[in-house]
Amino acid sequence: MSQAREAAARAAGASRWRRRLRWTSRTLATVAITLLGLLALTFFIGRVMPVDPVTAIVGEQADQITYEKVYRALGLDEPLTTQFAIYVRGLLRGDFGTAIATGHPVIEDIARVFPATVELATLGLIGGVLLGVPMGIVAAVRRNRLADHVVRLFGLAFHSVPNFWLGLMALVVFYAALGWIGGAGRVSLHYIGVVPDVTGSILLDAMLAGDWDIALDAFRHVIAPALILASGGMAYLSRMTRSFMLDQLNQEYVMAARIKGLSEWRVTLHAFRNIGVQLLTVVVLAYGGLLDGAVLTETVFAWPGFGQYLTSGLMAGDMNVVLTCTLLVGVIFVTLNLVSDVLYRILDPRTR
Amino acid sequence: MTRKNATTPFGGSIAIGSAHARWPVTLLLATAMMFGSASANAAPPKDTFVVAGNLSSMITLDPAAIAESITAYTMRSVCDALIELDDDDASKLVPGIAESWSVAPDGSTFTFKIRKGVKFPSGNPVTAVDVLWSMKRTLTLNLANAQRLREWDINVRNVDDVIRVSDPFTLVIQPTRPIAPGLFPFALTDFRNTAVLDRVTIQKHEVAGDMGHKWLATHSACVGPFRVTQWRPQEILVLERNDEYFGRKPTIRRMIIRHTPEAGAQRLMLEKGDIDMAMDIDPADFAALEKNPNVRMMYTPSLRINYFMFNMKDPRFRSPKLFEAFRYLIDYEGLEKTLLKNEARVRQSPVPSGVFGALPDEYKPFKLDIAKAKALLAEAGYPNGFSAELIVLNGFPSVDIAQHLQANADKVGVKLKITQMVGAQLFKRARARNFEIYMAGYGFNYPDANNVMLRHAYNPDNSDGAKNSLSVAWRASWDPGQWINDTIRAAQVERDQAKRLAMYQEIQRRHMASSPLIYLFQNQSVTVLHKRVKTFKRNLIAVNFAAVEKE
Amino acid sequence: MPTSVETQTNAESPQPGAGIRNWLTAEIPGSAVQARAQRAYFGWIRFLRNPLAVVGLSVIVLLVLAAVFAPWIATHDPLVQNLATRLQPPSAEHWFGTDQLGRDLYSRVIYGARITLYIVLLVTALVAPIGLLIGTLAGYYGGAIDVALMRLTDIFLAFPGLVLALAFVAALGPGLENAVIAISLTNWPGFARLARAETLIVRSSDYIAASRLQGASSGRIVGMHIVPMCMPSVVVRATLSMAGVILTAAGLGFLGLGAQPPSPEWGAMLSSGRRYMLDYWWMATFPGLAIVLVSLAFNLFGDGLRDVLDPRNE
Repeated sequence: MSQAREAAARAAGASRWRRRLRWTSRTLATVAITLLGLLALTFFIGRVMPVDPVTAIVGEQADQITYEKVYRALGLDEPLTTQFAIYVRGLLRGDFGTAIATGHPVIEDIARVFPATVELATLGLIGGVLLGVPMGIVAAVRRNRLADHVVRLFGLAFHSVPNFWLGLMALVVFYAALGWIGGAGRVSLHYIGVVPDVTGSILLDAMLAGDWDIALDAFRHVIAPALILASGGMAYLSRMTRSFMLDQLNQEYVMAARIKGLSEWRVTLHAFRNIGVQLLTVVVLAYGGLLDGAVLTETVFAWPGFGQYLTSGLMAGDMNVVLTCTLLVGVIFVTLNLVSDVLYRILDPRTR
Repeated sequence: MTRKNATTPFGGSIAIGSAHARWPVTLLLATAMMFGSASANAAPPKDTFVVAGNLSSMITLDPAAIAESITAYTMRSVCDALIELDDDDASKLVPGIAESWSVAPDGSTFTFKIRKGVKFPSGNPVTAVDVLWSMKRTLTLNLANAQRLREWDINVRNVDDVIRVSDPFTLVIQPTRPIAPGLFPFALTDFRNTAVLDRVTIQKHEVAGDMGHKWLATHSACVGPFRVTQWRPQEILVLERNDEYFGRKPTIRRMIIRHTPEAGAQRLMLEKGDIDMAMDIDPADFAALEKNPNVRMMYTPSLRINYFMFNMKDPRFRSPKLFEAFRYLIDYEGLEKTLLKNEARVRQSPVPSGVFGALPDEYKPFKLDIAKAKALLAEAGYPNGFSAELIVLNGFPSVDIAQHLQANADKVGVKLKITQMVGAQLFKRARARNFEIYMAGYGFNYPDANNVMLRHAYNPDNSDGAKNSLSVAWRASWDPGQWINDTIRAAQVERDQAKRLAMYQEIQRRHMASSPLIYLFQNQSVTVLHKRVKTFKRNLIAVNFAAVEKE
Repeated sequence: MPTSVETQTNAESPQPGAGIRNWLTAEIPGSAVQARAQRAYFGWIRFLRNPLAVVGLSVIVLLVLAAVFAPWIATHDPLVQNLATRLQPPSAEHWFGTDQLGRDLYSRVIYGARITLYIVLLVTALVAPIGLLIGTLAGYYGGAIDVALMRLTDIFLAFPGLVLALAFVAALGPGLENAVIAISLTNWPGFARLARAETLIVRSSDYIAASRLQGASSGRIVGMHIVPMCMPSVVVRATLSMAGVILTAAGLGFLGLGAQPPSPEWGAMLSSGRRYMLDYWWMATFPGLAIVLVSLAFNLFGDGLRDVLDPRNE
């Protein structure tokens, strides 16, 4: 009898494994197809761009001999299909090409600039969660009352403001007029390169090194761009939190808890605990959105990150940079989506 | 700054914000307490010169390949040329790596004596062999600056005949034909023509026969008052004083240029005292900065001009009357006094003021005259105007001047459709003769009209097949005619400076009477410094950072 | 309850004014037309209960009015330059001040409404039908078609909007029309996803099965039954995405890749105003505020619309 139960359990386990395996392989196939499509799309965009990479290298005042030499050196005289083949072959070897603007392999450049963006986006996400989630809860609990409308308006207002405009305004008011925040860049100029680079975040590095002056300086530089990024995350997260909470608050168990005489605070806490998984998946997705927002914010604040690298590459017709950056952003988006999916499957008991 | 903001609604909005919404006040106070104490810590030390600039176009530090003005501007203080221009007067030559030079009376041979005892930062001695090697390297690599030597008929094939090392400290240049003694040395005053590179060090870093190009993209190996110690593209460039330098030692020990793409951010950092100099201050901010007691502004003429041109390949754009009509569609004086105040001066002839061969500054035959333009247009066969696309270099001032032209052209029935684009797109269109009307700036290289003429007038073969895409005259499909072409060649060998001057002036008059190139303004270089910078040297061409002194 | 009883009795009486009201509120609609009208009426009432959404709608109405009657509302020609009166602060003569070429900013902002509206309408007109078509086809037919179409949308969705729009417009070249195309290319996948999800819900419902049994063609089913069911959420989505479209267009204009000068597009105005913002605050402020206001209005309106049209949200 126990053997039969064991066999049944084993069979159930095996079928669960088979299901997981099927899900995993299907997901991987999907991801692979998406990435291939990404690659073809970015390549197409890159090659029809009217910005001339040769001019970007040789300038306006090169003669025809030089121009043609560089044109050939970039392989632009090859047919498009050959160029694509060469590009893909390079990618398979891990060679993403060299950036015109820096002379370094693009992948090295990205490794160099990416920590700055991660620092910014992570702080932006933390800010967005800390602001957005409580706002969403308040809005749900006080639904259709003043607080709800205020939160809604607040969230939508930040959702409607162009990031670059907000950034410029912040520089004018809080840096120029009030002097509360640092100016452009990650730290004041004379602090660059003082603390050893350990984590990629100057703020953390300075804290680790115990240099509080630099940590404070780095904090004053990061706070405005991070908050501006956070405002976008906040708008999104407060809205999602509100709707998740409303779902929970309408459930029967909440009604039951209220009837049992549980305090409103306990009820809210209980409901909040139940939206944790949903919220987590949404937060993961919000992270991708912050990377998008970073593009213009970084330009305004001279933040030496990924967004700035991409925009200047775009302006200079630096195809390898544009291709690799868009590809990377695409990969990150796909990965975050996947992570969000997987988290949901693992953590949510209903999907198990 | 604070005073000014109090009168603007920016200041106003701050006040309104804190008066209306009570709850943020506590937050603001808390933040203020956190940050308030730390706000005045940013001034850099006295021996460090801190600059904010947009370094996104700083692509390579290799003198053979430097195409962008910002790189040349900075690297001039790292790489000395054979001969230098005087800090205060760009029409005077002063010794550089060559301590003296002489010219054969017929202009056929130029002899340069290289300074003895000069060492590269690596310790290797500087000899004439290094100079020759560096010039040959430029030609062999065939990058942006190879044309600066090819302009004088020096190329890979003949370089060993033209340039010779007669002893370790003597360099002899014998051009394929004589060149005016008053002209040729000026062409050698740019380190991009006559870089003196540390051949031994560079060869150690050679990869696949690239003559050290990859390594030099991020390093320096020349002689100059500074050397590059750190270069992270699009982030930071650090120059340290070269203590072995033969010339006067800079009082500045370290120079830091921080990539700051936003001009507004540069201004704010300067006003805060975080930096000593802002490279890209927007002309819109000049007036306000003039009033700031902490800021010093310097205006010097530059070799950069603004112009627009018609493409004569287009059958509609053939008549000199048409081009003349457009010369009357710009309010030169009005723009100079308002939009371009301190940014540019009216310049209607091709050769910029301060350059040998220029027409007098008062020579301004054109002014805004809609009626006259309309009459000329009718004479040219367009009584009812026409429609055309005007492609424009993005950003100030071209886009604004283009809109000004567009509004005036509209009054005579000409409909212009503006498309702005980045340089790497715009210049390609010009090179391919693929435009209708084109507007941009242009920067010349050395202060002699020969440079201007070769680029903007000389065009011996106007066919598409000639692909003389370096020549702006060719880009505009303008055939200047035999007289102009011949006179440009003749002026190159004319040893009588007065005659040479007269030739250039006559070429310009004819140029302006017939060409589809319409010259508008000559830009000024604007140097924006913190007041603690006491000495700063800038001439028509360049800045000498070695001369910077801070208090 | 008592109210509805009352209205029902009133419905018998032949008073014309109250008649429409009663007809609209009757408990049991007598015809399909009446049912539809009632739904719209109750939706409208619910919409009116959301003050923020009403504000949003009012701003949009104002925007449309400004765009239509721009020549009468504007005080100056938006393109006429006057170097003598450049960079003037707001005054009785120039309500929003003047720009670097002496053009009247108020008039430019008013005329800019036309461009904004043009972009928003054109993008929506391009994107909603395409998204709807792809989404419903994928959802209805399923199988290989579904997989292929959804992979395609995934590829586009894998990019953040601005980055992709930037890349597209860089490839197409700067200009208003190209900006519209670039924004549309980044915008349709959201609609396709949405329409597919809606279709999947509707597809298995009984009445679809019934009409299939009656011999209706697939095209007819998609066109007559599925698309209408998708419409409410597509309309909500379209309204909310208009806010995003405005921001992306402004971002492209800000980078010089959108509308070309002298067009008074708000993003482009902001871009030239940015250079002057430290000393001539009005140049960046008014176009910026216009963007914020209109984008916010579409968000508020869309939000309110969702409450009305998308019952699952409640």
